[in-house]
Amino acid sequence: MNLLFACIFFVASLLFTIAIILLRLFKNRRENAKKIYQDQIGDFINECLFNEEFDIEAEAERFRAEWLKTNLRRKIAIRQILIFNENLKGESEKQVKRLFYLLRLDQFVFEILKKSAWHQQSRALYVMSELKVLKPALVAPFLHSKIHGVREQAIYYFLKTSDSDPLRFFENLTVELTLWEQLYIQDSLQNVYQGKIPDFSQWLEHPLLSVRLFAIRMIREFSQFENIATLIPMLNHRDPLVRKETIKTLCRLNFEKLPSILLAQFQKEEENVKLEIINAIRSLGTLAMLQDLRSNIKEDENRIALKLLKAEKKLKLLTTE
Amino acid sequence: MKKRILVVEDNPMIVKSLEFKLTRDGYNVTVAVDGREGLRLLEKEAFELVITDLMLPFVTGNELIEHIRKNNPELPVIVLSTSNQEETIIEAFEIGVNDFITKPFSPNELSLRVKRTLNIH
Repeated sequence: MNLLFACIFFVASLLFTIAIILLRLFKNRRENAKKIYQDQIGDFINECLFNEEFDIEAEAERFRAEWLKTNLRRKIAIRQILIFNENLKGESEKQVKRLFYLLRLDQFVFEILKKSAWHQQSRALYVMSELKVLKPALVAPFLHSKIHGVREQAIYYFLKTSDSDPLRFFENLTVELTLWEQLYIQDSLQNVYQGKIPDFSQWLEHPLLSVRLFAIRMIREFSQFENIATLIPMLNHRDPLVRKETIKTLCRLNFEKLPSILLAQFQKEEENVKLEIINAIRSLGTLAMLQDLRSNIKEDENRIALKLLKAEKKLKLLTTE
Repeated sequence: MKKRILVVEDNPMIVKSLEFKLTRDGYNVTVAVDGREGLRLLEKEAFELVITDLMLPFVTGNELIEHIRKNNPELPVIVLSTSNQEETIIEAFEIGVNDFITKPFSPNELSLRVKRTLNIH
């Protein structure tokens, strides 16, 4: 019996070792092939970019028919085109983009979008964003994807390809934006999008709460002082999150009348909003205003009482300095 | 005789493109994929121009430029870097580079700048 188990164990170990070696060999072979393909497509792109005697259209057609035969080659070609696109500008960058279409890699990307797994779709959306392939109708459905990564890439696509209206895709949104997505959009607006920053007040009435909150936050981040008047009525919004964010924004925009408005509504507010009111009055109001709030704090509101004490202390320190 | 250019750059795509473009422009191009190899080539061979990145493995671009200025002050240097921060550019000019090109770059513009730098020196 022991001998039998020993034999089984030996055979299993042997098979396992052989499987690992074969996998390694397969991977090495694939990596070598990738390296060769990368060099071949790289050489071809360089010829297209810098050889003036090169008939790009005819050569691209020949290259496509003779070389771009497998999906692996197409994927490597796309990756190389992305690298060239990222590092070059001017005429060369335009030529790289043109090559993408001449090799009909756009059709390959569209096929991936239609049929493939979510991680490939996400990659395809990234390619379309980077190469500015203008097919918004094709990308729009991915804004509703259940997979976060795909949704994020779809958002990135609209931000990257837009020249003047980067948040137009908000019109098509039906699912709340996550906090990460909001941060991602903000970061893209600040670092990727190159056009004029939109007026965020147009989304203050959006059906999705996350979009409304995002719009209020962006008015603050991009210092849109012209929207102060539009924001004031939102201090009485039915949703406490909106009221809180509005207070924060109006405070940052140094709206002078804010402390007196907030003093009047402090008593009826919810705890989180009250805390924000204390912050705002500490920043824009006076010590006397903070002291006025004391009488409006209920016995069980310990957090608010503590916050108020701290705010008074800070303001006292500031006024004595 | 063809003028010799040393390209010190660790991005294979940029290396290939520069090599391709500058060779077509009629230069003799030698490539070093890191700063250490760049230094070794500079000590062994003579060049008319150096094009270098700033962020390089082993020996940084700044160290390489300082070495060039100490040992071969007449050799012109063009920096090709992703950094577009004013501070980095000023620092590079202070240690003696002749031109600064930011990535992404236009190969045609680089070609003209190479020509101009070689004509001046």
